[in-house]
Amino acid sequence: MNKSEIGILVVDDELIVRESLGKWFREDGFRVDVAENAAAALRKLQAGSWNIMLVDIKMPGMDGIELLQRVRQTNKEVVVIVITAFATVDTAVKALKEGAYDYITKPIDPDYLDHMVEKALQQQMLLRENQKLKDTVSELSGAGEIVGESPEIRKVLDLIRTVAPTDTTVMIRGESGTGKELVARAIHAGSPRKYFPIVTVNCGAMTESLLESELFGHERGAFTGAQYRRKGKVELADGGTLFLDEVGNIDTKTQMDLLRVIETKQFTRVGGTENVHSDFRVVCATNKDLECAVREGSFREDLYYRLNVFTIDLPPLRGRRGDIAKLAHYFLEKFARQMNKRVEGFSPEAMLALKAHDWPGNVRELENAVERAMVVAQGDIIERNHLPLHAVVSGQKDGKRLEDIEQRHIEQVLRENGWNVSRSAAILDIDRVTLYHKIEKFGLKRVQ
Amino acid sequence: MKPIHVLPLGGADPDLAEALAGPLRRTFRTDVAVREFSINPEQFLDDGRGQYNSTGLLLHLKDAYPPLKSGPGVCTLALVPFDLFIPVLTYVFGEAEVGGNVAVVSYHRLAPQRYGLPPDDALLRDRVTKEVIHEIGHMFSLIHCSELACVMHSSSYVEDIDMKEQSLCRICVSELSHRA
Repeated sequence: MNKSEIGILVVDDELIVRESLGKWFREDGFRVDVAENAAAALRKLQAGSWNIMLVDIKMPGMDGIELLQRVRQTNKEVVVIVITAFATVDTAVKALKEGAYDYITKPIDPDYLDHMVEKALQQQMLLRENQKLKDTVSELSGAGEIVGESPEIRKVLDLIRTVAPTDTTVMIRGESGTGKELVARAIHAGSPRKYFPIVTVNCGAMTESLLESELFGHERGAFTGAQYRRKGKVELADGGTLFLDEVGNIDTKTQMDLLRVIETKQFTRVGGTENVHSDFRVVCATNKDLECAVREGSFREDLYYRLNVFTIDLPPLRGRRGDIAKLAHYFLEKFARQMNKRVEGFSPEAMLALKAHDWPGNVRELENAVERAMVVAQGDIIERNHLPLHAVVSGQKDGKRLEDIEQRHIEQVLRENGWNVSRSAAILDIDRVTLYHKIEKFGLKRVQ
Repeated sequence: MKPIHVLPLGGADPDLAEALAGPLRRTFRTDVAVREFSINPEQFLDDGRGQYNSTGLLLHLKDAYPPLKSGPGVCTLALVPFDLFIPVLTYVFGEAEVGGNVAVVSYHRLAPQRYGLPPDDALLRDRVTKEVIHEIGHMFSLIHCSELACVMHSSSYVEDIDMKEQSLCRICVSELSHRA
């Protein structure tokens, strides 16, 4: 980092100290500013970005230790070095306990000052690097983000621990927003394949031909626009894990190709003839009822059995309400760090609302709600009105959901037609298999 | 480039001051003159520390030395034999106004005999020359350089000074020409 990008803030009530230290660091090429008291220092800390603060302990009004406490509440990154006229063990210990990096005694040995600043900057750089690496590892593994202590989520974590070290194909099921990709990443991170990539394919977001090319890659000239040979996700996952998200949305032709590649670990790129080998483990996820899709014939039975070897069912958030508070606090801390905001928690009313909400969008919806609240919150507490929970809370929506209306309508048509399934299906303009499935899903029974 | 005046003060060795003229001319490519001037250094003595306040001395020179009073046309460097300090630091080899017109260098801590070694006039002259060029560099707005051999590299110990050369590195030369 260029020295002119490194900011040093000198806080001392003595003009001569401010001037001489300011000058000393300016000669070194640092960006320097001075503050004559704690209040001015806090203003400057808020207005700009500082790497190091040199703070005199003894100042009129708010002293250096109190200033240090205030700084630590809002800014964990700035390195604070306290300056004292006479070092006593008490002041030194107190300053270090409050989070000072070190202390120096006036008058300062110039060499000692230079070395201390250099060391402090190195430490800051290492801490930043360490945090960045932790974030990257956590992002890559995803394991760190499965938050919760409810029996439901503990069961999921147990299953992950059991299956991760094996090479078994895993199917993760759960509603949208329950964290299926996190589970896939945790399985990968706990497997011997963790040093190789986990490659995600969002099967629901692509057309048939695009998905084929995405999975298997293509040769140059395979189709218009294919100017170069491109490796597919299956090839890229060699040695690692292939995560097939929304696997229930794959078209029937690609299902057949996928089945073949899963069984033989061999494939050809689109427009190619060469057999390519790839050693990968399959983890897939779906929020669809695959059994129904198999019955309806839209999903191949053989592929279903090939994928559904070990199933992990993720509970919806409303099914593990005990985790809502912990998750909400987890996201609050995450966004506080990202936004550099000091928000300490939720008001009782806000927490009550969080716990009462049904979370149809699950953990993702909760995450977005906390992020939005963090943006609008002005103080250090998230209030009820900061939360975007305009939707219904539990108990208020019964009968109004599309699903409820569908259930009532089907029930009525069946009743009107004396529970003749073929006739009812024709009136409803769906096939009989689908109607049977809906009868089963809604638990409809003929009342004699 | 502004001309440079060197003032041996407080009983500083005039020969040492004279020896600076050549290296300063070569480095800064400007007129260098060794001028006579006198002050009473005792007014800057801190009895408790037994050292002289360098910032006080600089402020006094700005007020008392006529070429400095008449305008910012001259860079003035005072050479003194006594130990200097600024209140927050234990000692300084010298002090300068960055981008200003006045600086001071002390050779009190530059003499080998201070460290229990036999006197060595050539070594002392070399150290003084480097520190004087360094402080004058500050007057021409140069800041500390990370290049170990560059005369603008920061020095807290004489060993640091000995590691440096009497010249500016390529980057500092270029900076200097931009600022001239």
